[in-house]
Amino acid sequence: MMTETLLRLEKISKAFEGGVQANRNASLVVKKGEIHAIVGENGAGKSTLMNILYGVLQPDSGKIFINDKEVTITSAREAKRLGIGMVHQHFMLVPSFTVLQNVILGYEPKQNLVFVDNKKAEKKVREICEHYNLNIPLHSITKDVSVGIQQRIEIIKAIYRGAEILILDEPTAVLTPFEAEELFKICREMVEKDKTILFISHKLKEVLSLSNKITIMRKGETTKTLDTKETTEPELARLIVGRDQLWTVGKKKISSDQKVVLEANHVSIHNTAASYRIKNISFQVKSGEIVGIAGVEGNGQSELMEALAGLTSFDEGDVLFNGSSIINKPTSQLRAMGIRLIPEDRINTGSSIKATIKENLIIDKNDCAPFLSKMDMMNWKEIDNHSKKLIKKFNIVAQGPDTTVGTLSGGNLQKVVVARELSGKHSCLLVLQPARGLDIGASEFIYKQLLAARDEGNAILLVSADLDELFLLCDRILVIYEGEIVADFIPDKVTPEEVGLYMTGAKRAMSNAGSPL
Amino acid sequence: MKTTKKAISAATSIVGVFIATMIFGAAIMLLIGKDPLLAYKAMFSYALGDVSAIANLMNRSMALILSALCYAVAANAGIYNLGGKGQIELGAIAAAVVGYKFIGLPIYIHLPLCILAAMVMGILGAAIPGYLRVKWKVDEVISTIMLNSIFFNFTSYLANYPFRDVTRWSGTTPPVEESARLPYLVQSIDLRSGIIVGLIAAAVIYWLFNYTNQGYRWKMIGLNPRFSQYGGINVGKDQMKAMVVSGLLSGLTGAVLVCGSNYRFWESIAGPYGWDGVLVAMLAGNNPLAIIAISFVFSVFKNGALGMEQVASVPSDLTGVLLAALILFITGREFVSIIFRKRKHIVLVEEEVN
Repeated sequence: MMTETLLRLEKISKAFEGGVQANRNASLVVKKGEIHAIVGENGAGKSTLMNILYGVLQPDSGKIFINDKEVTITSAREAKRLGIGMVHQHFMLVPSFTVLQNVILGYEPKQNLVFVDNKKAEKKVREICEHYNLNIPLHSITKDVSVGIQQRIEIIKAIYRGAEILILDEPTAVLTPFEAEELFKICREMVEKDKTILFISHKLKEVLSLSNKITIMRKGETTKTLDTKETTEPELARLIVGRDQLWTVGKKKISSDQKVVLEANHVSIHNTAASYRIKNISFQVKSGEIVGIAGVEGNGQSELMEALAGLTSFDEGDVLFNGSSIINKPTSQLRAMGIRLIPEDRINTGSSIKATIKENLIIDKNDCAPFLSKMDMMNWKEIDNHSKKLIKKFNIVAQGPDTTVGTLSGGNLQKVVVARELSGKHSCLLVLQPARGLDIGASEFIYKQLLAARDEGNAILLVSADLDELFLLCDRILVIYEGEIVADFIPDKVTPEEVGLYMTGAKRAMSNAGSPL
Repeated sequence: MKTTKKAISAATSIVGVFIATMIFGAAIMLLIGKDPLLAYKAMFSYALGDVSAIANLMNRSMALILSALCYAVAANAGIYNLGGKGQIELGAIAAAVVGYKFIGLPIYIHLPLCILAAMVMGILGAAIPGYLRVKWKVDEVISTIMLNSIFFNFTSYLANYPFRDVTRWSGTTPPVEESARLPYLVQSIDLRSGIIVGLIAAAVIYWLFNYTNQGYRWKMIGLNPRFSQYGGINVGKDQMKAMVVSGLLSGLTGAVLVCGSNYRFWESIAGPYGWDGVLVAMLAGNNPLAIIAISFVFSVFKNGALGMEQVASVPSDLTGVLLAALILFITGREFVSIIFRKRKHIVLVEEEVN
């Protein structure tokens, strides 16, 4: 492996208006041909640092060196010229273009200075694909290919534009476990061929298996750079959060004679007349129990939960809550009974990002005392007090009840959602991807809240694609595949690998009727 | 404290926009070889120069305020009522017919009866597209615009045939009884209390928006209907209510036009106000207080146009240019702040993603 220093950031500082110090004397040394991971909590300054490197933001002070030459990067175009490429978490692709068109967009080889030279373009892109062993269907329409392929398009696009350093921003957040493994192969292939990768991630396991070096950021500073070989997951976790105690989410055993709170009997949702989004699903959730639904995204789990919460409807079957049928009742009635949804889409469904924290916190209780006083008047004073209490109780980092929710970080936004749902009447929680995109500290906080709700006797149905999360929290794990429940496990008696096989459809243990074979 | 600060900054920005528009207009007048000082002097003297000019200004502002409110109430709840013109006409003809058909009623019965009839018709006109939207997802933008033609032709038929004033050339109803007219504000200049109705309506809507549960629900639906549904709000029902209030305000606008300044219905009586109201509401960001201010500024330009033409021989088309500049400066100001806010927002969103 080469050892020359390719990129050096020296004492980068950046403050935003409002006095947030996003970076404080952050320094980074990246050698050629390494996979350098950057880890840290939400708001630790990783994105800001990467955006400075990519020319999107300008630092207040500090220097950037590439190949020991000092550079100022004033725009993303300048960054590309210097050989820096970035793959954003949200892809920047034109859905209706072919894959090839997307790759060459903005940097098309020209024929007679006017026309796009498609042959030359294709030849060049094919060379890149072959060189790095990347397989993509160049002539497919981009919106028809999978997310994993779309990410590959972004990577090829960056290389096509001459990237030597590739910044991958949370690349696995959108991928299935299999696709993630494919991505890692590609990364290893690329560094072998002299590219350098900066890898931003929350997932410590990934970081440990993929990277050579790890730089930890905390509160805007780069606190430490480690050799991956010489560190462990607990050590990393401790360095990231800055304290020792982690993952001590204690679980009480549940007694077996708890009553059934939520019961689904052979429910289905049609996609078209002949096909199903979810098919013939049956399960029970007892009081004081967390039942997990494991599955790769898009296998019907979201549709199931939304229909259970009354946002959409089932086509067949029945749902019982404490013994009485609640199928297809409106959300307001279900909420009044104590059935609450923590949705996966926090930004569009779980919150109103242009509204304030206090407006968000009372959406479900806006017409109840004490928030409503006589003559249909809102009691804003009481709402203020309520919001302040919840902000304190749930450690929401915000200036106050009047802060616009859209300005909060992901973790704090999720805390607002959870605070609202847990501050109303609840006996059954429908939870989707509660910690997705959150850092360790915020995840732990959310988990503790869920476990506390469980110990109070709530019945909790938890949908997640993260097996660690499911094994940590659940008393039972169901696996959903292509709209059907294909397995039912007790976490102690199964390995994550085994569950993974069911998630990807390699194995199935249940018949269509939902009873074990 | 906070609200005063807000009010002051809003007021200064409106004055700023007004001045910028004037300067822009002056530059154009110089380009076409006219004297801007003379033109503006004429504009102001026609719009504000004497008591009857003020009466005119008040009447125009009143209609604009009410018509803007009826768009704002619906738009604030995420449902777009572009049928203000037709609904105002429905309300106006109802008020006019009730106003001249009943003779000998005392004012405290006759006038409320006119207004009530107008409101019922306005509500009817808005409830149809509202129901179609809520029940069958018919796009209200299209249905309200289409209903404008239907209501125009319907009211035009009524004014030309069953309720026509035979002493007149065409298309008007007979004048309403004195008992169906709003009380005078200043009798000598024939200024009635329409403007008071407009201001009270704006105040009520402001209160509704900011202090009531209904206002909170409308705001949340307007900001994010999906979130509101998830939160247990009956989105369709509340949007229907917004349409009803919007229609009620349209009807009221029609009634005030008839009972407050025109005293009779004529074809296309809402002509100048229906669409200008939409524009004013958009410029005001659906804020009832800003609607009052912008309506006044708008009316000064519109009423002053004749003066500019007569005295300074500036073509009255230039008013169109001035109004366009006004819109540009108001939205431009919004646009600039949106860009800055977006930037900040993007950074924060990216920050949160990691």
